[in-house]
Amino acid sequence: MVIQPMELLEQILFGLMIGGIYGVIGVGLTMIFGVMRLSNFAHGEFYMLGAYFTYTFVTLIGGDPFILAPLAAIAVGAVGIAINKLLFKSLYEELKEAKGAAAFYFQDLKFIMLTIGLSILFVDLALVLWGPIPISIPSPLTKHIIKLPGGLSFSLARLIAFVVAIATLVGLYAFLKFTKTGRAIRATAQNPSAAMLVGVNIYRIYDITMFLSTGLAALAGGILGPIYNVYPTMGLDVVAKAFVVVITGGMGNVIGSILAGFLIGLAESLGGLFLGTEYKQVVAFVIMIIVLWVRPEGILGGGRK
Amino acid sequence: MLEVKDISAAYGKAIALKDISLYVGEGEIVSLIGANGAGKTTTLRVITGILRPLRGDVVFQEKSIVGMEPYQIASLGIIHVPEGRGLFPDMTVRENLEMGAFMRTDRDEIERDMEFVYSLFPVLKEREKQLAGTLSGGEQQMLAIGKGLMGGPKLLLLDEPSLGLAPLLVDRIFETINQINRERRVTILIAEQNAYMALSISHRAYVIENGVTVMEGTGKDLLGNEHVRKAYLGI
Repeated sequence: MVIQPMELLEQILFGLMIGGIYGVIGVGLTMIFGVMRLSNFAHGEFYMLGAYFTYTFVTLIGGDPFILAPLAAIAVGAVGIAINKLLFKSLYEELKEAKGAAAFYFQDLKFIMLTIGLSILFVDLALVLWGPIPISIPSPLTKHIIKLPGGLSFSLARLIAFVVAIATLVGLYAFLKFTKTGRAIRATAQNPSAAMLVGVNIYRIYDITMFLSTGLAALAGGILGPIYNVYPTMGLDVVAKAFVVVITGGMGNVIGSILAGFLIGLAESLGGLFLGTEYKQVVAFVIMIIVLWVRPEGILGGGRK
Repeated sequence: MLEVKDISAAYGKAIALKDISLYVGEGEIVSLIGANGAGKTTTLRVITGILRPLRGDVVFQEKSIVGMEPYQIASLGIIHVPEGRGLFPDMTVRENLEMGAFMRTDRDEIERDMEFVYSLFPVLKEREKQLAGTLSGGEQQMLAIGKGLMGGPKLLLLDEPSLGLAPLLVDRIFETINQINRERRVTILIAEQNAYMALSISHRAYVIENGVTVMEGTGKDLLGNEHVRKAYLGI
């Protein structure tokens, strides 16, 4: 098989674009793990909800999905806060009563079961509300093709999705690094009881983390919606990939997840090119296994950011 | 200033405190001495709201604080430097100190307190940009106390400030605790296994055994007490 340089370049560009999206999804999952120690198996469903909310906004209000996706992300983020306040809080209190002093209650098996239950609930809810048939979110930007010299071309929609992903990741990093709330989130991730003792209301931090985590997943769903199909089980296809990104990057590490997102996006794209598309799905897992072999704690260590 | 009244507390089914009572007067240094597992740390945890007691009351400046969340109790001016030092390992020394002042908005005062902490522990100033997790044990303890001071405490709770430190450093830390009490008029409650050091700087002290206060007195009296000398001072 002879690979043209242009073909290679095209796959690298595609890999970077999808890697940015993996980064956004992975960062949401890793934040919730880092701050709350919660393995959220419903993370993919927030991605799915983001796509459907964007679709619904487009049909109800009208307008371009790339403008409405951030709105959908905020709406899904609000769902995330509601789940934290209505569901997680009571189970959290119950475990706190039973176990006594400060511990990572979100690590409890009951919480993992709860997120799996939520995942099933949301998939079924989507089936009832939007039906089983895959839909695509109409956007004129997908038809706008950018041609580069040498025969390279891609849709404007993909470029915008990439730019939105990068802007989101940079914005999130700046928020965590430079704002007082961001610093309180990092402090809670590093030492929750010490954070409480300096006056951080960690319940509020959990709300904010849920909002950001679910909102980021939803944003990814909303900006990919016009490019790929939207269907009720789309989250299940993505959540395994998200866990691969999070584990490869180092559980709880934001920068690690961003790097791993790009690494896996690129590897998949190039793997598809060199090995054939039938091997594309395997590549992510192979990368994870190799990284864990060399560095069991992931690219950038565990539980820290 | 602080009164703990008949507190009982448990971790799950394991009872840790049985009707413990004590008080701390304004401007005092009071210490809780006792063996590992006697209930010293648990007492501090109940005071700062990390552990909810089964029975009893905690009164701070004439107000009951039982049932309040730790962040609310911290905002009253009760600052707890916990066991294990309570640092944020992946933040720099300066960021840790700034986190200590999380609840405060008085920027000028915060800056002045930062200078005070640096004057107490000049090594922290040198290591300002270093990650807290990379400091030595002694430096971490200094940072923990400094971070506590940044909260602008009325009452400072110190859990095992001497743990894991070389004898020379222990002297240094206790000297500084004394200095903070004298110069800053901060009331201090210390839980400490090193009974000799704790008693020698304390105005008063309580001896805790198996979750009960078995003895109370001035630091000097307890240093001379037969039971204390045998059980805790090894004399």
